[in-house]
Amino acid sequence: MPLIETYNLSKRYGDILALNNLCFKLEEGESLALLGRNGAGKTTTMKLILELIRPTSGTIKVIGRDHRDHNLRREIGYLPEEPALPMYAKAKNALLYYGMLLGLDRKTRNRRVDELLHRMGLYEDRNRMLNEYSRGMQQRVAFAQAIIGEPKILILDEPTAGLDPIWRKEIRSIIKEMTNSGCAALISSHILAEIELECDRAIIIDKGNTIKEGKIDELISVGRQYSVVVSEFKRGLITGIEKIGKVIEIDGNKLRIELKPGYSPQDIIEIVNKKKVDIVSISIFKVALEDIFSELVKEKK
Amino acid sequence: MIRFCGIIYGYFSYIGRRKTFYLVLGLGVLFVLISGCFYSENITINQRLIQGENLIKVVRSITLYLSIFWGMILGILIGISTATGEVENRHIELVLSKPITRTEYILARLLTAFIISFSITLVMSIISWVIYTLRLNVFDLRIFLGIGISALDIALIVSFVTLISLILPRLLAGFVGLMTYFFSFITGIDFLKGFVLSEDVPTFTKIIARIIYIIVPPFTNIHKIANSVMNRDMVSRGEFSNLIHGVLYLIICLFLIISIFRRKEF
Repeated sequence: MPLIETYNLSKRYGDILALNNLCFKLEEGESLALLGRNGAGKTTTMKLILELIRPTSGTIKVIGRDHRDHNLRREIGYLPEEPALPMYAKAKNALLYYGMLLGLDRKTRNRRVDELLHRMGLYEDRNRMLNEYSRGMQQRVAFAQAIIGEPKILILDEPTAGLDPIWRKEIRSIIKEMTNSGCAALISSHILAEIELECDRAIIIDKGNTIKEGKIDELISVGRQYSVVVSEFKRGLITGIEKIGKVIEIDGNKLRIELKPGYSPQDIIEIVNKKKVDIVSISIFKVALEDIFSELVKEKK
Repeated sequence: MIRFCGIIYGYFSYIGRRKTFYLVLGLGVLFVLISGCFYSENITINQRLIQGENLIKVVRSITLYLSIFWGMILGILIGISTATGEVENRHIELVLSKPITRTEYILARLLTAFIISFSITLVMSIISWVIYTLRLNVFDLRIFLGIGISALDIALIVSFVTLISLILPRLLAGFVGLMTYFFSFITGIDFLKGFVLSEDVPTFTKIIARIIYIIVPPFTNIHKIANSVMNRDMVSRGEFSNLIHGVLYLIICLFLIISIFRRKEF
């Protein structure tokens, strides 16, 4: 059963259509990225799921039930883009407070808070006020509050913002651990390289409209392009290859080839071998998600 | 229940860190202490010597006024952040992402605001009571009866200001709350009542006066009832209707607060 389902979800603010007929499903153990420029509708989608705002039209189901059932939020861990933490509180007390809001009993609350303070590397500083914390430490507290109730669904808006590379990696590994144990994650991030590492699927939205949706691997594989590294480059190779496709780029011994329909990578191997050249490696050509994203947004414009 | 307590705990911690809270508290205690210095077994008011039971009545009334006044001021200050404090700093997004209904949230916050304001009123009345018990050498607990009835006043000001803060900016809401409190002195005095009952006054003016009487929260009238009950004075049926007016006003305020807050988007 999908943990989150949205059907024709739309949100309008006056004349501005912030989200237009968004449909998606988020399955157990899956991590889905919401990509888009500022104001594309990513945060709006997240807030709609949490009922912080109401949809103009469309429906949302969380774990098969209407998302307006407040008890469902026990199963959701949310990290907003700029989390406003209670700065007047100590880190430990702030987390205990969130535990109370989740309805955790005292024993579980204390156990979870201690576990998370250790995991987030904040145990030594647990009695310091949050306003004395650095931006990165505050972000770790904010992430900890999202996972304190061991939720089934994670909704994370820029989860690694303000973190150094070591903590980015750690947060990624926590998200991975959770998704491996069946939790689903809906993630929005501007760091597209991270999305490539973290997410299984992505939805690219622009001005509220879905412009592309699919598995990350599919999104970053461009058409039928292959990267081929040969032992030695010969001019004759190009003539041979042009019978089955097109050489798009040559970089030393590395060729980027786009195959014509009906041909497979096996045909490349045969042609190269005929020219008495060895193939060192052959792989599907992938571009960075960032380039795909820019390209799609440009196209849409 | 844990969740409800959680909201109360969060708001207590927030208020406990506000300097304004301690400033008002300090000022209030200072005023109570200063007024306590004037208590003596012989007080002269308008060249009349007040003694015995009358003296205790006067002292009780002063104590009630001072304690309630600071409770009301604090109620206004806390009331302006009850519904909108966490909305403005966006902490509300984190709180409402937890399994809490908006009604639970706002009721817990209102309850906290009331408990704090009323506790301060109680603390001040206790300080004042200790002073006059020692200085006048009497043991009289009736002041707490008055304070108990005035709890309605505190609940009313907190709810009223919270409601206004959902419509107007916070500072303006505080100002409106303060002005309404002072204005209620006018509607509370017999002048308006006489105005409404007088036959010389045109009907239209009477209607306006009646509307004002209904719209303005009956802070002063509730206070007057508290004072009368505390001093064992006669309370007319008409005066008791002010108490019902107050309760109804409170219920309407709570209903409007919940309705508006539930419709809000964050």
